Amino acid sequence: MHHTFDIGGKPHAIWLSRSPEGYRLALAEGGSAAVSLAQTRGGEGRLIVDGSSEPIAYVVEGDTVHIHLRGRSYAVRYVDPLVALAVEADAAGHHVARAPMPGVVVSVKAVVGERVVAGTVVAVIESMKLETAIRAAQDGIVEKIHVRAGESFDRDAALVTLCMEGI
Amino acid sequence: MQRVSSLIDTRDGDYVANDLHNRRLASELRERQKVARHVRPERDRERLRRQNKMFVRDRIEALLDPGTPFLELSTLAGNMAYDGEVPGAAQVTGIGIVSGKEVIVHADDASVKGGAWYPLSVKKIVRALDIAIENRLPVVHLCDSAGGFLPLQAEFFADRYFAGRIFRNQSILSKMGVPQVAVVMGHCTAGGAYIPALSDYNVIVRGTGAIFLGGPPLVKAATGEEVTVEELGGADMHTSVSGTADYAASSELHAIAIARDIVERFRQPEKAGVDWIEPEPPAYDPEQLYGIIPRDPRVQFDMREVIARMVDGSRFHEYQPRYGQSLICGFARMHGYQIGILANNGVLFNDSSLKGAHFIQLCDKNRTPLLFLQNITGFMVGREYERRGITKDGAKLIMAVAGASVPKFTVVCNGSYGAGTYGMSGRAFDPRFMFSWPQSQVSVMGAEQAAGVLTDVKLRQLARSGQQLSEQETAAIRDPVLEDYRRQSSAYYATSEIWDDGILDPVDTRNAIGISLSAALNAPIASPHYGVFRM
Repeated sequence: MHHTFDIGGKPHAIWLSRSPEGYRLALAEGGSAAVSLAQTRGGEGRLIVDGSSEPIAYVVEGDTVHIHLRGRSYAVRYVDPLVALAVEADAAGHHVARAPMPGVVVSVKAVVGERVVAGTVVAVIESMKLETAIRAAQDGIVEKIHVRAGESFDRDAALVTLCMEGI
Repeated sequence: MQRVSSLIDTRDGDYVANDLHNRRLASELRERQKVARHVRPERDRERLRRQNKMFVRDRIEALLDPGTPFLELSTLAGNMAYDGEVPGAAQVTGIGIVSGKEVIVHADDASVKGGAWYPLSVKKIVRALDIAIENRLPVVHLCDSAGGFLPLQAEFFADRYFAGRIFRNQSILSKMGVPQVAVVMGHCTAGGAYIPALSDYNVIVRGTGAIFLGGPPLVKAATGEEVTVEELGGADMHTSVSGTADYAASSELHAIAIARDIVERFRQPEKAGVDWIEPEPPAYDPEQLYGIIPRDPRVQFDMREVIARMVDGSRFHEYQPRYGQSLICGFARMHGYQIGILANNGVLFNDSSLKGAHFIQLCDKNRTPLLFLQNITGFMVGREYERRGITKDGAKLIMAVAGASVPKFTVVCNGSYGAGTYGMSGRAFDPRFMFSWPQSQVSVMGAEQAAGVLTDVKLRQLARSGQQLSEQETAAIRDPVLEDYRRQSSAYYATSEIWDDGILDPVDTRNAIGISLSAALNAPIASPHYGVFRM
């Protein structure tokens, strides 16, 4: 299973492996190159690909590395297969927030068409005398709200569907 | 260490003819492997697509680290059984790298008879788990089996090494602290249900994966209860209600990603302390093996020429080069690991047997794994040799082979006959891995000799009752015996019956042994200790 990186919305499947010379970067669609990063000081260094060297500046921010190379900037985001593939079960590019237990909807916080970021509370439910906030697992746009305040639901019921396309 | 200086002339007529012959054998092997791996009836492929399942080879590819080697074992298991309809015995097993860790992969092949377990499937799974135990390798099971093939249940159910052994081996692995992950990608019914249940970790695919002791039809028949697959043993029930499964996955790829994440956390055991230096490729081209192995298996050849095309830098430190010359012993390196090699250059005499037993003890004492290169017609027979104690000298060699604590590896390069098979670490002597070359033959004696003995016995029986047979009638007795014997002593038969771990293209031997060595060193090596040598 290759690692997937997102650059400008486009996924790239690659694999980095050890080699006698250091590391080799292989592309899923074929082709590979010897790569290394000679670090001159924090955040700046030289990227060496198959022997040719380029100055590079980079900042690591969580799963994203911001790179400045040859006068251009790139945001390279690591796509965790555990997250990316889990989402695939829902319709492609969609994520459904589901009820962790049976209960009653206290309030719906999201509005259809609203942009939310991961962690935004989309609904509050009550179950077993406890109020639980249901949060967006990913950044997205609220596409559909399946329940209304006061409505009861079963475990795993769909509460809010997010669309990840166009963000 | 000195380089072997090769005496091979690549322009020689025999060399050229051998080269042609052995390349043909190698390409035939590759073709048969390709068919066993990939060729399936379209309806079986179609059924997998309809069920939204990946083909077993694609599952394994997704599981393994890209660009890393996968040493597949017993690819041609079952190739001469069940009318050839169960390629690979409906199982894929091998050693691969998952999240940087060496593991045994065991996968049911649902494109063959729904992944049903035939007797040889069970043998192949048990063997894979034996390898895991002997070499302390974690196991990833990719489960998708319709269950045991019931018409043949007498041949895989009750005996010591039959299906129960799979679950016994799983339990022993757990007891040893060697972790297993099972990914449930189809139905795991009856016995098969215990594979995920006995794994330390398991992942189940929502929709297609299910675990139950009795499937819905059996439940209906037994108790009248009507229940769906999902309710009875689906991912959500098992991960949230019964606790039989640990992680629910939304697709096969998601399940594989979870399994990879689990394996990543496994602790890599410290490798047993064996001498290792930077590897170096052989100085002689391994492809020259094709020209060296005689096209007629009865023709003798010098195993030093084979060793020179297998070991690091073609360097070989020969031990006792002037004594017991029909058994070559010596040290070399394979992918950097020091190994002791025992290779046959003729029949085993008293001196060669003693030399072998001595060399094995030497290697055991200095913690050097052993590689046996078999081309052995047996121990020498005759009055003179018996008087010198050939039987007790052979017993010494067998005692040493059986008792050695260091890992052993065996390659059947050409012939492997009679007690020679035993003295040279045959299957019964638990080499960690055992491979065969395409033209090799294993049997209690050569086909011609065996047919001769059997015909002779028959002729004498008839002679006692005053009958005599014409040349033609004798041939009628001898030829079918010969035919049968040849078939059953071929490498393809041996691998079909899982007497080895697979047939190798000779040029791949170096890499296969390298991977096997690395895997074997996951297990600590016990101190040398032996039984009684008859002096």
